Amino acid sequence: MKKTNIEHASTNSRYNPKLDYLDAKDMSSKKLIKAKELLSKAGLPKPILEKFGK
Amino acid sequence: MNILNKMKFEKYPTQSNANKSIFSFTSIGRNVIEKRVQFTQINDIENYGLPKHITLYNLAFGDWNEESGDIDDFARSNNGDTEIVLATVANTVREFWHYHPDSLLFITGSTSERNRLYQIAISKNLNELLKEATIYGLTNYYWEEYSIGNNYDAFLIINKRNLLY
Repeated sequence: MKKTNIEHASTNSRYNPKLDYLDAKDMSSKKLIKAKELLSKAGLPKPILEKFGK
Repeated sequence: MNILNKMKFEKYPTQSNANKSIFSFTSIGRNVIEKRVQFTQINDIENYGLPKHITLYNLAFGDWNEESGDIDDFARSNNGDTEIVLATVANTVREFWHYHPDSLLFITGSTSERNRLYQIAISKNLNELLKEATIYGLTNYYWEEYSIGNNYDAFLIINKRNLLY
């Protein structure tokens, strides 16, 4: 296994403008459907709503 | 010190968009596979009872499919570098939280197998993670504090420091 591109220290990501285009494309909208379905039925944990809820 | 920094696993270098909501990296094992991690706001119309300044994000992660132009979160790459990949994803969470401190993370796997993978990653580092984050697991539409050994359909992760939780 090549390990030449593996890092040991924490580093910030390098900016790649191509990923901005993907952000605008909203590529994961389909994946939000499952998340929204689960959240619509379960809501958020009660302690979270007590802490942050309006 | 941030616990996600303290994880001793090696990790891959990442690239990101300007907003620090999409990250890419290359998994190099048996094959060379481009991976993506994307944080997408969920509470746009429905806020699930949260105030406006708290944002709920969905974390999507998987292989990048050039043909579909989307993340393939059903792929089972078996590339022999699972711990490095998961450590890299954990590092993107750390970086995301740095730029989006008032955010909660919602994670659900595309399959029960993928959820088990997330559970393994969380359970392996639970004691360390709990110093910095509060973790809930969703089972049968009921949230409970994360417990090793239970199976969950989704996870909610709150950064204690950023949200003063």
